[in-house]
Amino acid sequence: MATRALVVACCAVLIGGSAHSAELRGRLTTLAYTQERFDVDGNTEQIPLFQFVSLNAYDLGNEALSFHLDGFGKVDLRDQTYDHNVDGELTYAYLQWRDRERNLFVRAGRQFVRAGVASEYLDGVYGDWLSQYRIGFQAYAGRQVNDDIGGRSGDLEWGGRLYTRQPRFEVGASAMETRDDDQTGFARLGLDGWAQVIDKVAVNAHGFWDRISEEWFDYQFLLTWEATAKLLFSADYGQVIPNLFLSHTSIFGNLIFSDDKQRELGLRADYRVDRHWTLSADARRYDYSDGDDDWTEGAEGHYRWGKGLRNEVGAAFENWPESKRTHLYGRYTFDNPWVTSRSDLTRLFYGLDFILYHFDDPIFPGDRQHYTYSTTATLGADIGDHWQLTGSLDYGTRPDYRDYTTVTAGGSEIRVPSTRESDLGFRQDVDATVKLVYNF
Amino acid sequence: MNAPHTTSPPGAREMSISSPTVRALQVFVAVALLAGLAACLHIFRQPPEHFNFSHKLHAVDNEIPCRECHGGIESSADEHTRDLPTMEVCEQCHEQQIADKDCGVCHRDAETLEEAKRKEAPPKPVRYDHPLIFSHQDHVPRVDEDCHVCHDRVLKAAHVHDEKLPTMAPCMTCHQEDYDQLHCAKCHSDLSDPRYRPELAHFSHRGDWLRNHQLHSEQQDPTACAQCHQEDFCADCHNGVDNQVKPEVKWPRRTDRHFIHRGDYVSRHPIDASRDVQQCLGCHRVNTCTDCHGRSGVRWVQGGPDPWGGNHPLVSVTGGFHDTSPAGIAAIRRNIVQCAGCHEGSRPVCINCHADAGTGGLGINPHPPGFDSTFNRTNERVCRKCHTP
Repeated sequence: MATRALVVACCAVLIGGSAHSAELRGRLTTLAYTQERFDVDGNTEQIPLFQFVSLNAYDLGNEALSFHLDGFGKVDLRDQTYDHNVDGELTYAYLQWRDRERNLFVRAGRQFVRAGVASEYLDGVYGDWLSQYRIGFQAYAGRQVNDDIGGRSGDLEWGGRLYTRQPRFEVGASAMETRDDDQTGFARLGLDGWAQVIDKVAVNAHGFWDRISEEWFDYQFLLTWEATAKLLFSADYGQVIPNLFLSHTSIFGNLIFSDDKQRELGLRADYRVDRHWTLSADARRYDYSDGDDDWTEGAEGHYRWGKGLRNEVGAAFENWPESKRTHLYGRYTFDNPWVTSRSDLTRLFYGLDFILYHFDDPIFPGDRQHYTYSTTATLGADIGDHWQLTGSLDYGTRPDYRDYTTVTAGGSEIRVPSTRESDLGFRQDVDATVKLVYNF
Repeated sequence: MNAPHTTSPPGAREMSISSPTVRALQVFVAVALLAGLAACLHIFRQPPEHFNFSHKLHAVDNEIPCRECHGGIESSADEHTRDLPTMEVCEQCHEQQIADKDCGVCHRDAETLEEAKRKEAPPKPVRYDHPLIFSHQDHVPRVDEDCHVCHDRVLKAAHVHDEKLPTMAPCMTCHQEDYDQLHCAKCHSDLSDPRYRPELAHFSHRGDWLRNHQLHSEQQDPTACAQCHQEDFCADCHNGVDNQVKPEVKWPRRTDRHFIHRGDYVSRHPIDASRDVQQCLGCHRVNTCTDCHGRSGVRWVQGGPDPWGGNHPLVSVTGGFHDTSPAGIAAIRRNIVQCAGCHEGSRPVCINCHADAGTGGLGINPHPPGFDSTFNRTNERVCRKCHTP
């Protein structure tokens, strides 16, 4: 927390010092909504209040220098019993120096880094330069920002990527390594690429190698074929070793429990009938080197209309090995621009959306047939050039899983979910959301 | 809104009752909705159409050259200059109507009519809401001063409010390479307007973009994405912090933000997580699972009952021990992160059995054959969970 505050303070001083020439843009979003959480202590109602801040400051004394920040704070107005009822995060906050002529930028601060095998969240520096010869270099170093219980916060990390970016293809080679004290945590290499093989066919691929276990732990291929302007076929194939793939964020780390591999094969077709209608169908197969294999199939169609195609209705179907799911959804937004004697009210909009979801899953004992339904009505107004106020009411009905019972365990009484031997009950909820946005 | 929970007969429907605070909030929102609706009906009106004017009638039927009315456009160095004709230009043909004060021939609403009657007042600037970086000064010579190369749709417009801006097609005759390399910022100063989004998504986010954008992001020039998206757009999903707001709640008007966890996802997330848990980790961290499972009570409790009533979703459990058959062990190893959703914590349950005696366990070896030759001996942090140093 102290480090975060220091980062923000330094940035504020820097921005303030350059304020005379800075161009500030951003958005402040205040949002509150009601919701119900499943809670053994019986405190089921919550009214979280969020304040989101997104800030971009350009031309900080130098037209190449900018500052970018995003974060949020949260407090629950109703329920103060849970650890995360007061929460906050500095999502990113970094200074950027960008030379558009030379295709170069450098960032310092808290940021997301995407460079081949690296998909990191760290406090550090990151640079990217694409030279005139279309050869590019990416490099980064810093400390991981990871508040996970795996205890990986603060690990040193560095890496980079060498690439060439051509009009019809790009190829890159990357590396990353982390260390905690004097121990290596992760050490990985990556190859990635994209190519427009022929005019309407493109291929994306990557392969990631774990230097410690000495094996490919993640490789994926994606082929897309634009058969016509309206019809797109895609196929993807990949394999991951889940324990290595996921070791970033779990206490289990890179401890190799097995060499089980998970392969996926996906096939998909998307047909854009016109700018309103879109139909898609897909099939996916999961292969486990040590376990059952499964196919899933799905189809979806939706229709969009209106200004900016903001309105839509759609239907989707998923066929899983042990369940079938169907859902219908829709959204209607009506903008009413008006001219009045009041110059500050510029737009009023209404929205109505719904979703009906039916699924047949053997998750809980008893009846497998479940459905949920919810509909949301939204009313909002743009006020002046900067403000937007929105209010929504959501009415929904869904299965009720909150059947708790009290048992004695470990010498004390605790509440735990009981199991149902017959039909689940349903509950109706009405939730409200209020949002105020200030754009500047 | 929701009453203190009471157990009801199976299959019964429950209607919950609001608490005072929540009811007040609901009432406030309901009143705001009604007030806004009433305001709309009684106060506000649609924007008027100002002019009766047809480009087709003037430029095609009467073959009036573009420069007759828009003579100053060649000196325009930015897109803000509209170069609308003044009354003096219209007077060259409509002198009689002007003399007769027959303003309704061209002007439809009272506001512009008053300006027209004043005559000396300049035309009211038309707000241009398609931000472009464009210079007629640069482009007119390139098309040999033939305006129709870009503005051919104007000739078909029977009314001034019909679409008259060029499409991308004429631009592509010269800017195809910029288009291919997503140098959109060369011409478009702001692509964040939701009106562009469906068309942009069509050409750049086709197919199963949600699943596949990871691959695209590895190669994509981040500045290309930045032409349409601010970084907080990505952070709306890839924040990983527990209790974050779902995108469709934060942005209810955005149809492209209504795809995450449709419906009652709580009920089906175990199935999705068991199939493809790495998809979850794109947005969530493991403590998202543990926090919710801890609060809801769907967790392992020392000495407590099995919340699944013998129907554990991953592996059968008997007498407090999981299935030790090869298939059962394989299921656990494959889904170890999903197990952590309930069983991880300051002291994961696995350690009770699989840690050595010095660390408080039973010393049951969980490692597969051949493990000793492959694991990373330089990283002892995880090993110390089970092994005495």
